[in-house]
Amino acid sequence: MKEKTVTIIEAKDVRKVYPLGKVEVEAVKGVSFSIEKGDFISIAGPSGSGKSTILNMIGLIDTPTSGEVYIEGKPISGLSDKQLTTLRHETIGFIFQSFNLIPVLNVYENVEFPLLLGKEKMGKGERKDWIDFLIAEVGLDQWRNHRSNELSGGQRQRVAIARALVGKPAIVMADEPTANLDSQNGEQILELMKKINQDMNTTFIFSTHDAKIVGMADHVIRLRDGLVTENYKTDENIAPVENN
Amino acid sequence: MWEHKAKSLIIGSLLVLGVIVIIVGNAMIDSASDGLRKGYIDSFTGNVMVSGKSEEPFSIFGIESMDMTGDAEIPTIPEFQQVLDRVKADPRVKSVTSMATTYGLLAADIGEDPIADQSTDPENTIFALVFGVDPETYFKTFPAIQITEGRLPNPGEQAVLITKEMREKLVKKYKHEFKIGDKILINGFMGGMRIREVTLVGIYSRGEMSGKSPFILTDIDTVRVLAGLTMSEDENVVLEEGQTSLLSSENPDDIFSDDAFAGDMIDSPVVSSKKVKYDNAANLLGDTSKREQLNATNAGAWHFMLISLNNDLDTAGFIADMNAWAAGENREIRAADWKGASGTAGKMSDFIRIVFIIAILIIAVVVVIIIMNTLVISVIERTAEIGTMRALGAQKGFVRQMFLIETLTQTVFFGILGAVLATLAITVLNAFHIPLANEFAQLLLGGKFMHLVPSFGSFIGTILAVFLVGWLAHLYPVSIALKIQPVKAMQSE
Repeated sequence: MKEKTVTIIEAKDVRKVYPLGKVEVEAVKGVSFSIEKGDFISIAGPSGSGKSTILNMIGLIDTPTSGEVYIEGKPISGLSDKQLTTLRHETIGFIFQSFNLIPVLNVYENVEFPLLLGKEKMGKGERKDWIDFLIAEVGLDQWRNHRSNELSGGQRQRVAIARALVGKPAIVMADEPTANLDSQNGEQILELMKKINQDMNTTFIFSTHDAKIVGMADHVIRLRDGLVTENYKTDENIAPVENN
Repeated sequence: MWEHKAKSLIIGSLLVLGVIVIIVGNAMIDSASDGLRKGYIDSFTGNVMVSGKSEEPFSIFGIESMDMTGDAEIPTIPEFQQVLDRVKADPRVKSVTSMATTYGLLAADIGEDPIADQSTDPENTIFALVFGVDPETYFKTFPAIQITEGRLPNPGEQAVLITKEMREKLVKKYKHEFKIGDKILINGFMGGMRIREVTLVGIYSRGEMSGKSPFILTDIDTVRVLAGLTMSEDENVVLEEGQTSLLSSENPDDIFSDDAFAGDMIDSPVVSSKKVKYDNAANLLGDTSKREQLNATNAGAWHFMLISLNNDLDTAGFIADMNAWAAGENREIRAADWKGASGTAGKMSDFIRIVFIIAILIIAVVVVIIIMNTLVISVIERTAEIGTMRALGAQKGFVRQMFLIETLTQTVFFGILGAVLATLAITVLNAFHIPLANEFAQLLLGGKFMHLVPSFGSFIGTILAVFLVGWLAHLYPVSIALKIQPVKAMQSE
């Protein structure tokens, strides 16, 4: 049984407004929730519900219009771009819908890339061993020297997972990670993510509109029109949380 | 860089071409400077020229001001012998010669008026820049000047040496062969009309600096006469009051009234049976010895002292010492290098270099803009990649550094490639010994064949300039990329 002792992310009345010409669009209308360490959580909802917006804000690549986001208990408002970037680098790994691999790098180099940013925490040998382990873990050992344009969609997403984990982040954010994959590959990716979640106690937060994939999550936050409609943990059978 | 081959090639081609133009262009200009310098020093000016001072600009080729009145004159060197002694005493001096300059029109017939012919028959008007020299020291100071026919003038001889081309002009005009020993007339018009008959004693050549150049060499006294370098120039003439009174009057009646000449004018002729001999008649005019003395040519009048040094590198120091000595002794003389001596002609290569640099700067601005635009397109195409890097934790400085390294790698790579190709082009051009048909080009480039002088300084300077172009060109595109938030950059994928 996983130990879920710490609240790793907390959102308090977070809003996001986008200007569209003279009109303002409120993508997120004031949501509050908390995520604990080791959670395998799905942020679900139809298109336009605000899933990606919330993911971007708690992933520190976008800033809320109002409200506060806490990462490991620290508020992020008032942090400079440099501080946000550093926090993102040290705490969060990303898996994108379109994989977003760097096209000029091969598999090994793509996975290694985050380790080249910021301060070096591992020795060269230790780094190589860790990257080799991750590549093997995602089943791409024979493809390590291939570039992304030589890989299938499923293989690219596996590279993205390995890259997201290489910095040993506390949190991995995955924005519609299976949207560009067929159902078989999508399930395999989710299974892989779940395995890593259980083995490494890494918190996984992924957005999806696929019900089948929602069903694989331990904790679900449902959104509609920028508001939380449900917030529950599947293994504790807790009643859905009413939106405030 | 390799992924975006098309853009890299565009930028690379521009850089390579630019570098070739700069290096080959600089080699041409350096060659021209070197050629001009060598040509003028070896054939006209020596390392150092000493002259008198004047407010009007002048060179060994004459007055260079826009003064159309004809009043401007080249000053003579005051207390010439003392200056000469000072120069000769300097151990840095290899040889020294002296010279004076005037202009003239050549003729063979005393009855013709070559000055009037200028407007009616310009093709047959033979203009000459006349250098009056001391033959013994002049040819020693300029060994590049050779006598190809005839001999040097004898001391005191009214003689002239002309070029082969000048003789051909005379032959063409007068339809007869001019041989050594024939007489030629030089009509001078500086400071008054004067004619001097001289004997053609030789044909000379300045090697590659000859051609259609109108320079003739004469004895110094011929130039002194033609230029009006008389003793009066050095005299402070003091007139008595009676002699100056008419000069101050503005009333014509004062000058032309009968009283003006009272006592001096003979009112009515007196017939005398006494025969008047010339010597008696001459005595009637009174003592004219002073006038004759003032009208005599100044045997010490020289316009220029041309000095050849043992070591070219001593030029600046020698000039500084000479000018300091002149200032210390209140002497109205100046020392100058070959550029100062040759005036506008010598500054030609500087002028060409300035024009070239301006052209290069304009081209550089255009190149920066083209590269910048190409990089902007590249950055826009890569905004998703940049956004991903930023999302993964890359600071702005990392992204900026990445683009800078990419741009500089390109510029340095293509810059060096361009420099290598330029050096190759220069080597090939020199190997082909391309003849310069145009005399101006021959004078400019110091020879009959094109010979470019590549310099290591130009090579390094060009690489650095290309480096700077690349750095400037990358600033704006990267600033665009960094302003985009990571989330927007990823949405553009």
